Formats: sequence, structure tokens, C-alpha cells
Amino acid sequence: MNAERLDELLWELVDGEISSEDHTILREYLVGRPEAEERRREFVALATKLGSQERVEPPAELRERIDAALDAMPPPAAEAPPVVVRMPPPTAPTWPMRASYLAAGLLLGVGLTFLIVTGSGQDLDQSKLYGTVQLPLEDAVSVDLEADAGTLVFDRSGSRRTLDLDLRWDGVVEMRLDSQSGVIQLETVDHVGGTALAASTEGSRLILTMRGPAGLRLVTDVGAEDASLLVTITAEDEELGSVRLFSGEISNVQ
Amino acid sequence: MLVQATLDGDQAAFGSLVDQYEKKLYNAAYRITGSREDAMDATQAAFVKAYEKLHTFDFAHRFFSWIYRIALNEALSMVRRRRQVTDLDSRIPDSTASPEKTASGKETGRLIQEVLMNIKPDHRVVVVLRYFEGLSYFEMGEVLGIPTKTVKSRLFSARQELRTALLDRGVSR
Repeated sequence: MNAERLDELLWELVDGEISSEDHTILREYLVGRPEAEERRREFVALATKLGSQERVEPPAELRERIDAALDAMPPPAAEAPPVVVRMPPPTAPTWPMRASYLAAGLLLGVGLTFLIVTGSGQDLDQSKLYGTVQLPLEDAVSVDLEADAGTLVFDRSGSRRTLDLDLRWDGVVEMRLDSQSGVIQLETVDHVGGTALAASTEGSRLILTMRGPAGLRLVTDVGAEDASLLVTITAEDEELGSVRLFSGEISNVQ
Repeated sequence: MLVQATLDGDQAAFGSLVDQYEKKLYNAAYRITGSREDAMDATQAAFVKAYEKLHTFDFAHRFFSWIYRIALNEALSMVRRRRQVTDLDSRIPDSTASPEKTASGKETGRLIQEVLMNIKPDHRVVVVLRYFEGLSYFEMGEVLGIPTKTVKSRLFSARQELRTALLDRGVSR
């Protein structure tokens, strides 16, 4: 065992955090090694010294100041009820509608080609790629995230659910999707800007972790046309820790 | 739960949270800033921010981790601001104002605080959480938003730095 490993184990022992396996190894190592035993005693002495420092009593003035500050503030916003996004059941497109979809598709294709050809890279207008062209248009529903963190647009076709996220949050975000049908399958995940750190499915749950800001399109299949989807988006904030940006249910209106 | 009760309009519930955490947060802030005044400001700011942002609290986590993290960030912000305008030595609590004055070993207590103020802020935070607040490695990870493995390595470096500094000042066993 080298000196650094010995110190690590000794500190874990002193802190009461050592595993039983490491404890056995350390106990055997200490036998017949007075210098290591001496080091253990030294660490115990330091930990005791630190841990025995007196607590500082906050002055009464502190509580008065806190109460006065809170009294001057409006009550905290009540927890926003889960957003329930209801969409009408899909209808078979009529021929004129199909023609308009085709036209929209062609326009989108031209637009994408233009962006790719010009090689605009970081200057891509994400709103043109994400969240604006939705088929059928009247079924797409858009909601704003908490903390002005962006916009989420839902759409569906049959059992397929499409989520377009325009994320302004600068940091790590986790999106969790729970299908009420008990089935969820990730079809595609594409992003512009940001980083898709991980996407995984587990039974009827899909978890995607990414770093924003970014534009994201996520297509999933929930196995049934009328299955509802629970969506939760949380972000890691440096000061506040885990912050919920969205919590809602998407279900079809029958 | 007190957080939910506050969100449901029961303001007294938040008062109970203040009762529960005021002393702990103040102590941690004091050890990090080395100043009673800054500790008061940091603690007050933490409660105000938590109250204001309570609707964003993620119930999958523990409130204690959340409020600690806010308070530590407030305390560290004050240290950064102070560092720009104040000579570090003047942040060391003098013996007339220190609680250690009345305790036995008051000189050791003063030296420990002095050494704490001279190690890296990241290291100071883990030492305070472990030895002054008594948090486990896992709880420290929750508060700081880092894996337990990182807590262990940061704590390891912090103790080495602290130990060397104490030995330099003649405080050994």
C-alpha cells in the first residue's frame, strides 16, 4: 500500500466512511506498523480538534432581519399545477390538406438545403428547424418553460409523439417522458447547438440528459394512438440545484 | 411537508424551516466568510432566495441540500467580493469577537479559523461541511452537486492543505 492510499483509507476510517472490505485490509496493514498507527492517531486528533470547535450562536437580530425581509415579499408562487395539454384526436387529412402539407414539406426542404449549402453553422436559425413546421399545424401545442428557459412544442401523429424544445437554459437539463401505455420507444433525437449527453429508455420511461442552450427534436412512439405522455424537465442550476422547468401531461381529447 | 405547506399559502410553515436551518446555515457561513456580519448577510440572502424560488424546488431532492447549497453560494460570493477589497488577514475573527475566547483551547480555535481562511474556498467548504456541520460524504455530494468520489478527493486535498498549514503554525496534536 503506498502512502497516499494509506492516508485515504485512514481518513475514511476516521470519518466513519470506510467500507468493511477496506476496513479489513487496513486493520491487517496496521498490525506491526507503528508509524502507520501513529499517523492514524494524528488524523483522529485533527478530526477531533476540528469537530470540537464551538458553534457560533446567530444573533437575535438575524431572525428579525429574515422575518422583515420575508414580510416585505409576496407569498411564493403556488406550485404551478401540472400542465395538461389536450389535443383533438387525429383526423385523416383531406386531399387539399395533403397538398398543403406537400407544399410545406417542399418549402422546408428548400429552406434546409439553403441553410446547409450556405454552411451557416452556428448562425442557423433554430426556429426554422425546430418548432415552427408542425404537421398537422392545428394540432401542435406550445408551452413556455419556467424561468424563461425556453419553449416546448408537442405534436403527435398516431402513436408517434414529437417534442420540439427550444432551450435557452445554459447548462444541464434532464427531460423525462413516461408513457401511460406502458410502452415508449425512442425513434430519433436531433439537436442543434448544445450536447445530447445521454438518451435511454427503460420500460415505459425515457430519460434524455442534454446541455443547453440548444434546439432539440425528439420523436418517440408510445405504442397507442390515445396514450398520454407525462413530461418532466428539470435543470441543474449552480445556485439552486435541481430546478423544475416543466411538468405536464399530454393527452388526446376523445 | 413544510415546503408544500408554504406553497399552499401557509407562511408560518416557512418560519419553521427558518427555525430549523438558521443556526446551521449561519455557522457554515461564518466558518466560510470568517465574519459575523457576512454570515448574517449570507444567511438572510439564502432564506430570501429560497422563499422567492420555492416553486422551482424539485421535490425529488431534500430541502436541506437545496438550502445549504444556496447559503454556501451566498457565502462564497461574499468571500469573492471581499477578497477584492480587503486584506485577508483582516477577515480573521479577532479573539475579542470570537466564540473561542470563552472556550478552553481558544488559541487553537482562533488558529484553526485563521488557517481555514487561508486555504482555497472549495477546500474550506468541504472541511466546514464535514467537520463543522457533520455531513456524510453522500450528503456533501448532494449539497455540492458533485459525485461522492469527487467529495472524497476534494476533502483529501483540503485536509492535506489544512494539516500542513496547522503544522506550520505549531498546531500538531
